[in-house]
Amino acid sequence: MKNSDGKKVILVIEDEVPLLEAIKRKLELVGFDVLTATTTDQALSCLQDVKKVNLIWLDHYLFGKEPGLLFVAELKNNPKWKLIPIFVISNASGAEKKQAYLSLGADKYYAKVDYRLEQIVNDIHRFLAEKRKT
Amino acid sequence: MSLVKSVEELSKFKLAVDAAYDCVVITDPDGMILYANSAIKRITGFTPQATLGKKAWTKELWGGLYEKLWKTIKHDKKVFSGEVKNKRKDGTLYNAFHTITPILNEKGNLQFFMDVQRDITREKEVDRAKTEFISLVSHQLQTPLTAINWYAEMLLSGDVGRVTEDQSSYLAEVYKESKRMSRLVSDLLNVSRLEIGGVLIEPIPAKINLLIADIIKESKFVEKEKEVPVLFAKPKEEIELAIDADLFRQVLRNLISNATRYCSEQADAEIKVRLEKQAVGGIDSLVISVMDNGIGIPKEEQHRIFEKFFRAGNAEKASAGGTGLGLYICKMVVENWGGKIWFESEEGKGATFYATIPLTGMVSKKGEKKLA
Repeated sequence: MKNSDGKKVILVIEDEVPLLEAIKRKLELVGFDVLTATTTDQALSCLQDVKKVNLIWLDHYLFGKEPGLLFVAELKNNPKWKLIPIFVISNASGAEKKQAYLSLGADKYYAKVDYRLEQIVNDIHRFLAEKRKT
Repeated sequence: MSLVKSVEELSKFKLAVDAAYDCVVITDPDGMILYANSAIKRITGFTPQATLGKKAWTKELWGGLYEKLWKTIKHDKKVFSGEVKNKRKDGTLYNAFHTITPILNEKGNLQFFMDVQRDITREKEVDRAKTEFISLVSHQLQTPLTAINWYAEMLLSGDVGRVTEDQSSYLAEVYKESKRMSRLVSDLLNVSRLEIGGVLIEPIPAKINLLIADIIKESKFVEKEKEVPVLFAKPKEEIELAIDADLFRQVLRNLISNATRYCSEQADAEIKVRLEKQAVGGIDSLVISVMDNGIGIPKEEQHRIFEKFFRAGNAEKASAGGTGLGLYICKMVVENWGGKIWFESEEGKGATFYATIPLTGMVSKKGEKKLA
């Protein structure tokens, strides 16, 4: 839901709680409202309950499984959610996963180990600012 | 030798070959089976009799290697060895390693081919399990490292309160070492993939000038200790070649990262990337060179530069960030793709690293995985 003071809402899906906390904190510092989920099922029920989500931060490996790709496919097939931009931020290395996500419609793919948290958060900020203009 | 003795000798050999554990097949110069030993039944399910007169190797099973196989054994008259997925009598597939030897008479004319085959399915399964395990371990290690990195980063940025100068420098150390550990985990993963399963190489035509310009731009955003200008001396025409862009990117980024790391502290520090066509070792090649005017490599240590975990003395002093695996990985990757890698350097003056790709394109390889 867009807050009365117009903050954008980011849904973060990450199973490692310490990382989830750091991401939430950083996004809030930059001025976003943050919803969190540790599984894609939780994320789906969150999307159903909430009026609007401006962007999704998705981890690929969740609890030893790889539900990320299915989740993106499901979202892109749903008229209510298919326009929500998805940033995949994962420890999964290798070009195959990146290609798979991008071809399913994810907007960006980051390998956690290569990027500072600040860089990713700034990219999200810039991405949403650009989107607002179009 | 008397006739009886000759027959005795031959019987001895025939008995030995018939009973050998490895599968031995003899074919005529066109690859039609003349003889197969009993091991063929154990490996494929076919009896030796059932294979007589059939083709030992088919394009259907050998695919891209089929032409190379025939060129090697018939045209070049040399031994060919290679891995292939063969089909058993019951239709199941198995991994086989073949060594095919051309048998020539005294005049050098082709008489037969001898094909010795081993079932390596079990070995490949073990290799696959090893690579999966290492991937899993590497992922498990990267997760806590990411947490350390991001929390240290937030502390350093003052996101949870101001930090004193001392606190800042201690945190910077924590961050630096944690990043180094991350790089080490990544590199170890790549080394194990290269050594165990062999790396997948998928060449696709690409515009090289454009790719290099992209990689140089990207490398500016990766964690760097210093800002050093990277100049690209590109050839006048755009060069297009069949390459695996991911592997190319890995190697070039590593060379540029090294050049940056060991660059001099002075204002005239610069890195030049050059691209040109040249014959190297008799093969027409694309030569990519990365030159820096930094600390260089001492002569007495130059012969060890491509060794695993080796870092020259002056490199250790200049920068604690290297893992000692970068060049080892580069060498394996470049040689796997059919190229050569070498360098020229003088201590205190700088170093130039060269990597080549044959103008016929990178060699395609059927590995298990791509690099991380």
